[in-house]
Amino acid sequence: MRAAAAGDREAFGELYGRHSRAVHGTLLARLPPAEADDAVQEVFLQAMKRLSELRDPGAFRSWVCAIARRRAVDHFRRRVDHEELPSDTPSNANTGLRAEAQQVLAAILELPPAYHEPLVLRLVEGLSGREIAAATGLTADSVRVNLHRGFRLLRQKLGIE
Amino acid sequence: MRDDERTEEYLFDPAAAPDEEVVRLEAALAPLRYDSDAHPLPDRRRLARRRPRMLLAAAAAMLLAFVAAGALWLWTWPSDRPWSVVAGPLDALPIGRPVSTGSDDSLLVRVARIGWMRIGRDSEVTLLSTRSNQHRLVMQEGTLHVSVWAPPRSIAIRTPSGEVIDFGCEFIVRVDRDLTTVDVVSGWVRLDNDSGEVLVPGGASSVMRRDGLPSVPLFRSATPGFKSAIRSIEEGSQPRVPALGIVLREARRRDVLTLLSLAGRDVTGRDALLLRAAELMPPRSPQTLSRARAGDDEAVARWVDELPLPPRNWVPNWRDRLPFRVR
Repeated sequence: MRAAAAGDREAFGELYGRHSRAVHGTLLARLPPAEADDAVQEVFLQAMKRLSELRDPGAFRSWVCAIARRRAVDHFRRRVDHEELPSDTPSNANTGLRAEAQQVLAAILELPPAYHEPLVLRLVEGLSGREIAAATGLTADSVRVNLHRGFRLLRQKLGIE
Repeated sequence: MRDDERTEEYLFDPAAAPDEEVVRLEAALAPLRYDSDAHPLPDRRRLARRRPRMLLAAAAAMLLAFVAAGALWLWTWPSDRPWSVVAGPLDALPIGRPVSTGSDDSLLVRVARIGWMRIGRDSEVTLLSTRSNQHRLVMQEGTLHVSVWAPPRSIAIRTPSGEVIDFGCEFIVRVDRDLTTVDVVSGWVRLDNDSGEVLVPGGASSVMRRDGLPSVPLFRSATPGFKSAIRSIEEGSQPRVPALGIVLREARRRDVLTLLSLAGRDVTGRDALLLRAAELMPPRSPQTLSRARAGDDEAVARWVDELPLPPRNWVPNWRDRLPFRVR
């Protein structure tokens, strides 16, 4: 972390490799897939610039995910300023993705917001409950509950019983 | 372990015993998973460059708007507003009233916003009308040195032998009774009277009488023998054959415009002039020469267009508009 803060690109590359899925999941819970892909790099470049502001190196994941959340908010603010928000959900914004993945993601994003980020981080990015807790700032127990309840609702929505 | 507990455990800890339903949904969502290897982190400098590019585009758009506004301001002029005098005994050049200079004085006049004009000694000039890109003068005698940067035909000067029309350029007009001489400094000027017209490029001159075609463009750098022979052929003041011999002998590459212009007028010497022009500056296509020799004037015109002459477009002559170029 110190090396990355001192401008070591290789060290920062390691941070990127380790935390990019958490950032992507955070963004994917809020942005259309294609825009989430692009935004990941912007978030890390912003983080690279501001790394010296990070007091606790152990909090990098939650810090960089917080940057991602702000990035998603900015994205919608800019869109509101310039154009009408599209009526479609992120699921059908990227035609290159498989239809099934889009359908499942759309179903997740139709659940109450509290479940979006935990389920996307878990089911899309493959993060563990503890990693999700570090990314979201929730306790591990809260993540466990959210994942469990969220998944139950998702099954109902997808008609899996 | 009950199914529900297994699901909860696997959801929280992917290293635990897998739950079939969760695994199926993981697989379905796998195409959306982020692959950092497929998206290498770009160089920070590249990102930094994006903003300057946008700034550059904004700056270019502003510059364009500024230039357009500047051009509009430069080339618009209220109808019949007099031109101001920069140096001389008058404040302004009035509309419709002749202005004369004595043997010791001259006037430096600002031509609307598009350039300047010096009225030389012993001259008489009347500013007939002014308006955006259409300024008209009458010149009875004397010398007029004009420099303008504006679309073609912005200035037209009527003289006793015809009209002198600018094509975005600098030129000197001398009027001596019914003889008008035009020396073009840069750009192009058109001389026009009832008998016809001629376009004269920078570096060349032409004379115009009331009762005949304006002379062919003749570069001032041509040899004295060449110039004299051309004049005598046009005026018919000397036997044609020896004069034509001098023209053919003393012509340089730069004089091909004169040769081709004369070939369009001199039927008897046409073939010899065209062949000499082809020796000095052959046309791109051999067919152009054969068609020109067969009497096709359009082929001659195409040949002229191929010559290395000043651009017909007036825009590149902007340097003439710079204040320090005022002479």
